[in-house]
Amino acid sequence: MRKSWHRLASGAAAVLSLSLVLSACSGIKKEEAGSAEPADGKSITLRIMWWGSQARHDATLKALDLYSEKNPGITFEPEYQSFDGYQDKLSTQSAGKNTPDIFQMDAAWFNDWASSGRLEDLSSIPTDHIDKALLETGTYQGKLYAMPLGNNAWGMVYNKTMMDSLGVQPPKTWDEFFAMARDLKPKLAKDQYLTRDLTADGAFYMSYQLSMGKGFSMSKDGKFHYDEATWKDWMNKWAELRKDNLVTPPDVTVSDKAQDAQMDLLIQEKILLRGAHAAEFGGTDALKPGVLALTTQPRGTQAGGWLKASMYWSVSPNSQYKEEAKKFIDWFVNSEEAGEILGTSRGIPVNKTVADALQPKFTDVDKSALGLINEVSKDGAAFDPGPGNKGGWANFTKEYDNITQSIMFGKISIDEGWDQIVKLSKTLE
Amino acid sequence: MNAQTVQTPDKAGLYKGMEAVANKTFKGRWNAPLAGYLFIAPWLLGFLILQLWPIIQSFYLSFTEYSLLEPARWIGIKNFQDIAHDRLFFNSLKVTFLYVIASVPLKLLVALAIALLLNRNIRGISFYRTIIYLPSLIGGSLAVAVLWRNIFGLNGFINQLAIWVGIAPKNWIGTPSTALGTLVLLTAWQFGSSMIIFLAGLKQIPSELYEAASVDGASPLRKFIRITLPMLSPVILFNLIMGIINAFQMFTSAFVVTNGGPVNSTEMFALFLYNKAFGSLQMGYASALAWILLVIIGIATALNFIASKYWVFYETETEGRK
Repeated sequence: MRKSWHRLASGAAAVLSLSLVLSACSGIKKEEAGSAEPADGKSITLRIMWWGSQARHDATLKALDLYSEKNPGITFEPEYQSFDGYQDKLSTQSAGKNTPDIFQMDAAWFNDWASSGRLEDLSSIPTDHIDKALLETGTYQGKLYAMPLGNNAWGMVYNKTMMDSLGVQPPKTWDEFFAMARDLKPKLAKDQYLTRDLTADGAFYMSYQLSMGKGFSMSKDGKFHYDEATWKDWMNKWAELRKDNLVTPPDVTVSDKAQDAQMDLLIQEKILLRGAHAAEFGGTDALKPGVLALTTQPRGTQAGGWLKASMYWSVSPNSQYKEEAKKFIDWFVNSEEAGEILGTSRGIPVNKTVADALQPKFTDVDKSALGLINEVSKDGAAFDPGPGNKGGWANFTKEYDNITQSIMFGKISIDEGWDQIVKLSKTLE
Repeated sequence: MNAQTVQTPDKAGLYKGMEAVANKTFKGRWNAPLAGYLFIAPWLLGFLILQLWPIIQSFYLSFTEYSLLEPARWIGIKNFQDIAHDRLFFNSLKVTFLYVIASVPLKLLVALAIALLLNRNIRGISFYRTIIYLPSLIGGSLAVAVLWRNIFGLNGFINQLAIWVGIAPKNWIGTPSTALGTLVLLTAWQFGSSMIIFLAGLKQIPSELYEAASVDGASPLRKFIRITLPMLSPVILFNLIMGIINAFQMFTSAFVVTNGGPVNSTEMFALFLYNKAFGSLQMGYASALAWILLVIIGIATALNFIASKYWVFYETETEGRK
């Protein structure tokens, strides 16, 4: 008898542990569901997700606390991380219809998301003091689906201390740029160069083509815009510099990892300049305080940089609290108290009034970023978010890197590379 | 299983009743006690819900175009047709096979050599075993991959060594011809679990065999070839198969150390699959790749089992053969 009781008890234990496992799972679910269904209609929890550096996390969390304090009954469930893997996570959540109520959006994915009905219309949020050109970048078919959060500009970051001691200014035009790569080398150490080899750098090439008056090489119309003559000219210039050992050798070039304290060639003083966004400058400066400065992209026949929004807030159309989410975004971009806490954690604030009120408190880093933005805004291009991932462009971008790297490592000629790119462009829809 | 042994005479009525029902329903095939199934139920449910169901789903998805952002669309075998024309697919196959062929034997050799070293009776041997096994506990982790990136990087330890002995330093990870080699070395460095299994296998070999061989005047090398290797062959087969299966699915270090580069020279199959799934949001395509990988691993394992008939020696077989 005792033995059978023993068995029964162990069986029961198994069932019990099973139900514990199950209830543990449903416990998590319940918490989420609980926040989605307020018992009294007053207390709600907004899920909000963003990427960024530690400084941005701290500032945002502080702003969320203040908002909860001022709006009793509204609390937040924040999810934040670095940029790596953010898009993967967001896409996966979206597939499971589990996107947060509010989430940070990037210009490069915006079209994919807006065109597939994954974003809520935010047109009701007041935008009187916000730059119209920036708002345009978050608009799809006449409706605002992504609220820009900061001004940003594409330029270059350079080692000011070293350039000053060498008695040179950062290059203003591409002619100066290529000449300087040659002229500066004898004054530098054996493994120091003006720049890394930009053969396989798609963003820099885009600037080059733009500055030569041929427009963006990739654009949101999804068509192929690479200009053959400009592209081959660019590749030939780099091939010459590479041949004469005036730019980083290929194995060093591919080891470069921007904003990584160990692997960023600029931080390691192996190169003197690189392409950069104004809004990233805080992070870069922190790795090498007081040494770096910003400047514009080199000019060709016209300016090569562009203005863009650093990032956006978007709202999920599946959210149960769309109005509350929009109210929060309104406060986030339009109120001075939010602006004061957030500072330039997402670039220079888009709301002119907020930005003006903040100006006296700007640090040197903020001022550098603002300086570049002002400089670019004189004659820089409006940002084109590009074709996104659709129509074979994700594959194109990956293959493009592969082809240009093959050229850099001398595995194929420039003409062969161009032929492969043209062949690849035929696969675009 | 023999029903007689299971049916113990003193059974609680409730339990008896349950089994009677079970026996009737499954016509006597349901012989294992219900309690057993209850015990494995948490695992079983986890397997069904978290593994089997996604596997079935991925099979379905492999015949669809699915970007996560829009519902899956049935496109028949188009994914498989596209894969057959995908240059990067064949590149990743080439890289993966190279990696498997280089890393698995190397790792087994290292593991066996260290197991032999640790299979002796000296003072404090268990301490040495622990120390030597320790790195393998963290070997597959992200942190070690990052460490590896720094060791073989431009300012890394290997280059300092190279300068010291007069070799021109280079970025081993950034050079297409050496990048895969650094990953193979990283794999060999994770010898621990194979080593432990070898060690257990070595301890199973009866010492009489060695004593008899010594009496006959066999050299240590001859003893190793004639006694150790045949006696260890089932363990070698196990390690070989597990090593091959793991190597085909290698992801972490390719992702962290080189991220597939330079010029796709380390774009392993699993990394290629990941990039298709989350980089390009081609979930259907990636699912099709996953099933192709399953077939490849299945064939590789089957070939190993077939080949094992010719070199693996099981002690129990001797009576049957002679």
